[in-house]
Amino acid sequence: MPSTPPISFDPRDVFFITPQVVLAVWGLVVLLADLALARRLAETARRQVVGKLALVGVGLALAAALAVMLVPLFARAFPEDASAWFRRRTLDYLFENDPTIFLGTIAGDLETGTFNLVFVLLLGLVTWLSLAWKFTEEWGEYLALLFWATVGMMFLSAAEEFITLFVALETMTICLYLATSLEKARRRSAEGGLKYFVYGSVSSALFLFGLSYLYGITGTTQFNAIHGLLAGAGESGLAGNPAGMMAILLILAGFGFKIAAVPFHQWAPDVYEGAPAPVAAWVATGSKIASFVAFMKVFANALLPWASPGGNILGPGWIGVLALIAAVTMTYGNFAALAQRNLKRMLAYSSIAHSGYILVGVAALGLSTDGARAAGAVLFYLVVYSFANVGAFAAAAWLMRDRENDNIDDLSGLAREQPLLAVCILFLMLSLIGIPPLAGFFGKLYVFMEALNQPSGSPHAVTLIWLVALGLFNSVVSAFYYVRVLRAMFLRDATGRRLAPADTPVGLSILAATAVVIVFGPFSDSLMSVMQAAAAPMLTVPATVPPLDAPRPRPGKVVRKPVPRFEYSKEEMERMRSMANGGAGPPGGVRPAAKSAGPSAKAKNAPASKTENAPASKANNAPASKGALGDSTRTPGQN
Amino acid sequence: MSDNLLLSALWLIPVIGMIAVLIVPRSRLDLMRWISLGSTFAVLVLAVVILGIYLDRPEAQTSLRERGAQNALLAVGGEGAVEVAESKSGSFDLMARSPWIPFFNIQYYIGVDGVNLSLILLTALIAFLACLASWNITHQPKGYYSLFLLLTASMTGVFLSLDLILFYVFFEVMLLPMYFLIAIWGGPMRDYAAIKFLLYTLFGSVFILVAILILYFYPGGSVRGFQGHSFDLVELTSVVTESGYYPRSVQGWVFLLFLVGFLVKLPSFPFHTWLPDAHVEAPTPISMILAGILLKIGGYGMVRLAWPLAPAGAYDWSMVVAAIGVFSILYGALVAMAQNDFKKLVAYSSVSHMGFVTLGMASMALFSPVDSSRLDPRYYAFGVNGAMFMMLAHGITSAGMFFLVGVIYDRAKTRELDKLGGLNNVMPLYGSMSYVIFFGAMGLPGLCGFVAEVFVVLAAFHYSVSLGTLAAAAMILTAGYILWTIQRVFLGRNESWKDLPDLNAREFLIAVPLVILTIALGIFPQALILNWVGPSVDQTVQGIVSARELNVQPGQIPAPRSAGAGLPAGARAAVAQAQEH
Repeated sequence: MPSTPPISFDPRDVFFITPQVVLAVWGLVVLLADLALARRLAETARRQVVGKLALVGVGLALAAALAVMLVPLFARAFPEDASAWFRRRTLDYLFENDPTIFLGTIAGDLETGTFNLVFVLLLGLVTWLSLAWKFTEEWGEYLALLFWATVGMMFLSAAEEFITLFVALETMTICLYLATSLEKARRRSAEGGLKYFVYGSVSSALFLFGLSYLYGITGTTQFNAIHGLLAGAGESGLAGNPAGMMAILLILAGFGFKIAAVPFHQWAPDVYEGAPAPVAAWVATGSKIASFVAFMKVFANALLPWASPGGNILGPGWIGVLALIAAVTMTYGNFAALAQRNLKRMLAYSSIAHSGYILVGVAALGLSTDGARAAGAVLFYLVVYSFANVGAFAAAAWLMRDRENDNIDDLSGLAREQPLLAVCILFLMLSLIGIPPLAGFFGKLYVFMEALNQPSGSPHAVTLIWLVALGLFNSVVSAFYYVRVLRAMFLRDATGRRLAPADTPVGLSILAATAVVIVFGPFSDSLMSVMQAAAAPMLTVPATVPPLDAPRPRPGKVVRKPVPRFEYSKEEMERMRSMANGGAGPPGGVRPAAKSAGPSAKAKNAPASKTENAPASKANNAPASKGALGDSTRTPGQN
Repeated sequence: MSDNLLLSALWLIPVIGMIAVLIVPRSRLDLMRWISLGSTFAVLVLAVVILGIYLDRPEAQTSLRERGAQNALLAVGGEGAVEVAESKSGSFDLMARSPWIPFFNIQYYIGVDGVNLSLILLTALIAFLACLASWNITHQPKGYYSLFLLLTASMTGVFLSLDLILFYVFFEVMLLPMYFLIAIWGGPMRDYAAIKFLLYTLFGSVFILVAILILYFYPGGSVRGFQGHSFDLVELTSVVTESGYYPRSVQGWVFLLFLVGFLVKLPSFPFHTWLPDAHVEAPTPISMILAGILLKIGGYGMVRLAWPLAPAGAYDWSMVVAAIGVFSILYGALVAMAQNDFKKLVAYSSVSHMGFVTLGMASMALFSPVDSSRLDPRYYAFGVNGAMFMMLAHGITSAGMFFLVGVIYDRAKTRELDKLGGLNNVMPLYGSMSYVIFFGAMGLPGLCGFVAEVFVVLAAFHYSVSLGTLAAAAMILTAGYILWTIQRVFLGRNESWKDLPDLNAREFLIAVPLVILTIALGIFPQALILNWVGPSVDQTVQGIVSARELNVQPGQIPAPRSAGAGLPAGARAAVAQAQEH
C-alpha cells in the first residue's frame, strides 16, 4: 500500500524547466539589448540585430529542451556510461519515477518535453517570420513578449494542478494581448488587442470562478486528486449537483474562449485580422496547442468521472455539452469562412472550424477506453494543423510586406511569380482541407477514427457517428474557401503591386511547414507514436510507474562520499500518516513532511493518484516496497 | 524483381516521370513531351507484361483471397511490428503487401485480378493516347505534363489498391490534378466547371469514407478470429461472403453510402450535372481521360467495393438501383438528342452508357428462370460481365469520340452541330474513323458496344421484364442521336469547311488503335476479354450470391422480390450449402 511520502521542494527539479528559464531570461536579454544597444541603429539593422539575438535564444531554448528530454533518456538507456558521467545523486534523480516536479504541480516527465520541443520549434518559425517586415517600433518588447508567452504555454501544457494552470494561462494570454496591439500604425491592431483583452479577461474571470466552485466541492486543485475524488463519488455524476454543473460550465466557457469555440469565438476574427501576422500565427498555433493540452488534462483527467456518468449522452455529464459545442463550432466556422475575403480573417474562421474537429477528438477522448490513443490523435492533429497554419500566416505576412494588404485576391498570380512557394502554399491548403496523402488528412482520419472507435454497445456511438459525419461534410464545405486561395494563386493574373521574392523568413516558414505537412502524411505513424507517448502521461489516472533501479556504479571507478539521507522509524511513519489524514501531528516532529504535505493531504481520498504513488517510489527505490516499510534501517538509493 | 516492384512500378513510373518533367528547364517543351510520352508508354508496356504474366501463371489466376492468404502479414514481436511473409518467394502471383500505418492496421496492399487488370490496361492505353493528343498544348507545358502524369499515377493506383484507405488516398489524389487540368487549360467557363467537379467528387468521396469507416468499426463480435478493424479489401470481402458479421441493416447503409459516392463519380442521373460542364470545358486529352478512365473508377468501385462488401444491402436496393440505371440510360439519351454542342452531346451519351453499368450491376436475378427455388446466378453473371465489358468498350469509344470532337474543334474552332456538316467530303479519313467509333458507341452488332449492351439487357430482361424492355428501347434513342449527329456533321455539303485538312499522322496514330479495338472487341469478345476477365467476375458474383444468401435469413425477413413461395426454401438450401463448406 502506498505510504504517505515526504514531499519536499527539490531544487534539482529546476533542471526540468530549463527551457522555460532560458526563454524567460533571454526575453529580458533581448529587451535590454534592444533598449541599450540597438536603439541607435537604423530601423532595418536594428530589426535584424535584435531578431538574430532572439533567434540565438530560440536556439538555446531548443538545446535546453533537447537536453531535458535526452539526458534522462540517455541515462536510462546507457546506465553504465551514465554512471561515469553523472554524480550518484544526479543519477538517482534521473532514475526517479516521479513524473511530476515542484511538489506535484508540474509534469516534468520526458514526454512533456515533447511539447516544449514543439513550442520552441514553432516559436523559432514565428520569430523568424517576424523579421520579414517592419510592423512595429518596439522590437525588444515584441520579441520578449513572444518569448514570455511561450514560457506561459510551456507551463500551461505541463500544469498538473489548477493554480499553476491559471497562472500559466494568464502569463500566456497577457503577453499575447500586448503583442496583438503592437502594430501601432494600424488601428485594427489596437482594436484587436483591446477586444482580445476584454474577452480574455472576462473568460479568465469565469474560469477562475468555476475553479473556485470546483475547489469548494473537492477541496483540492490537483488534477489527479480531483479525479480520484470524483471517481469515488459514484454513478450519479453531476445529477443534483448544481455547484458541479456551474463549475463545469464556467470552466468550459473559460477554455472555450482560449480555443475559440462557438459561442465564445467572437474575438478570434478581429484578433487574427488585426494582429501582425506572426502574432496571429502564434495565437492560432502555440496558444491553441497549449490550451488544448490543458483542456484535455482538465477534462480527460480531472473531470473525466463527470464525462457521462449515466451512460447517456444527455445524462448528467459534460460530454453532451462538448459534443454540441463541437458540432456548432465546426459548422459555424466553416460557413462563416465561406464569406471571407481577407486571408487572415478566413484563417481565423477556419481555425474556429478546426477547433470543432479537435473537440470531436476531445469528446472521443472523454469516452475512449484507450485514452492515450485518442489523445495522441488529437495531439497529432494539433501539431500538423499548427505547422500548416504557420505557413499560411507566413503567406499573409508576405502579402502584408509587399502589397500592404492581405486579402485573398492579393495572392493573384503568385504561381507565375513564385511557382515553388505557390506550390508549397497549395500543399498547406490541401492539408488543411484534408486531402490525402498529406498530414492533415491523416490528422482528421485519426481523430475521427478514434471518435468511432467505441466499444460495442456504447450508447454514445450514434452521437459520435453523427458528429463524424458532420465533420466530414464540413471538410467538403471547407474545400470551397481553401480552393479560393488556390484559385487566386494559380488561375488569376497578378493585379496591383508585384510581390518581391520572399526572403528567408517568409520562404523558410512556408518551406518548413510544407515539409512537415508532406513528410508526416505518408509517414504519419512516426509522429503519431511520439504523440501517443506524449499523451500517455498526460492522462495518467493511476500512476503505476514500475520502479526502476539506478545502476550500481562500477567498483573502483567512481568514488564519492555517501549522500546524507534521513531515515524514518516506524513511529515517524505512523505520525506522518495520521498527519496527512488530517490529524494533528506533533510540531516539528518530522523535518521534511510538516509543511509540504499540503497537496498530498488534499489528495487523501485519491487512493491511487500520481501525487501519492509516485513520490513513494522516489523515497523508495527498492523494489520490495511492501516489506521494506517496516524496515527502519533501509537506505534508499545508497550504495 | 518482386511482385511489389512490378506492380508499384505502374504508379511509380508516372511519378518519376512527373519529377523529371519538373526538373527539365522551362524552355525544353520537346523534352517534356517525350518524357511524358515515354512514361505513359512504359506504363502501357508494363501493363501488357503483367497481363502476360497473369495469363501465363496459374498461381496468379487464383482468386484474390487465396493469394491474400499466401501473402499474409505475420505479426512478429510486439504491437505494430509487422513483417511480411511471402510464402513462395519469387513467384509472380501479382500481389504484394506490407504494413503502412500499423496503428490502424492500414496496409500498402496491391494486387491484380482480371477485373482491375483489364481497367489498368485501359488506363495505360488511354493515358498514352491522351498524351499523344496533348501535342498542341503549349500553354504552361511543365505544369500540364506534370499534372497529367500525376493523374495517370493516381488512376493506376486506384485500380491497384486492395486496401480501402490506400484506395481512398489514390482516389482523392486524383481530384487535384484534374481540378487544375480543367481550371487552367480549360475553356471559357473552366473556373466554374472545375470547382463543380471538385466539390461534387469531394462530396461523393465523403460518403465512401464513411462507408469504409463503418466497415472498419462495426462491432460484430468475433467471427473466426475476425473482429473488425480491418481495411483489407480481400479480407473484408471474404468475411462478408462467408459470415453474417455485418448484419443486413448495416450492409444496407454501407451499400447506400458507397452507391452515392460512386454514382457521383460514374456519374448517374441525380449526380451527373458536373459531367457535361467538366467535359465541355476540359481540353481534348483531359476529356479523353475523364470519359475513358475517370468514369470507370465509379464503375470499378461498384464492382469491387459497393456490391461485394454489402451484398445484402445491394440485393435489397437492387430494384431502385436498376431503375436509376434505366432512367439514366433514357435520360442521357434524350438529353443528348437535344444538344447542339458536339462535346455536350458526347458527355450526355456517357451518362447514358454508364447507366448500362449501373443496370448490369443491379440486375440481381439470382434464381433459375425455370425453377425459382434454385439458385442460378448465371444471368446475374451476364449482367456483371456486361457491366465490365461496357466499361472497357465505353472507355475505348468515348475516348475516341472526344478525341474526334477535339480534332474538329481544333480545325473549325466550333463545336456547334448546326454549323458543321459535309465533313465526309472534306476529311474522308476522319469520317471513316468516326463512323466506326460512333457506331461502336451506338451498339452496332460486330462492334464492341453491342456485346456489352446485349449482356446487360439480357440480365435486365431476366431480372425485370419492364426494365429490360425500357433499356432495350433506349438503343433506339441511342441510334437516333448518333445517326442524327453523323448526318449533321459528316453528310451533306457545306462550303465553309472545304479547306480543312484531314487527319495528320499523329492524329491518325491515336485514332487507329481505338478503331482497331472497337472492331476487335466486337468480333472476338470472348478471346480478347471475357476469357480472362470472366473468371474473376464470376468469383465476385459467387461471393455476392453466397453472401446475400447468408444474410437474407429464411423466415425472418421476407425476400424483397415476390418471386413466389419457393424463395425461402431456396434460401434455406443455400444456407445449408454454405454451412457444409
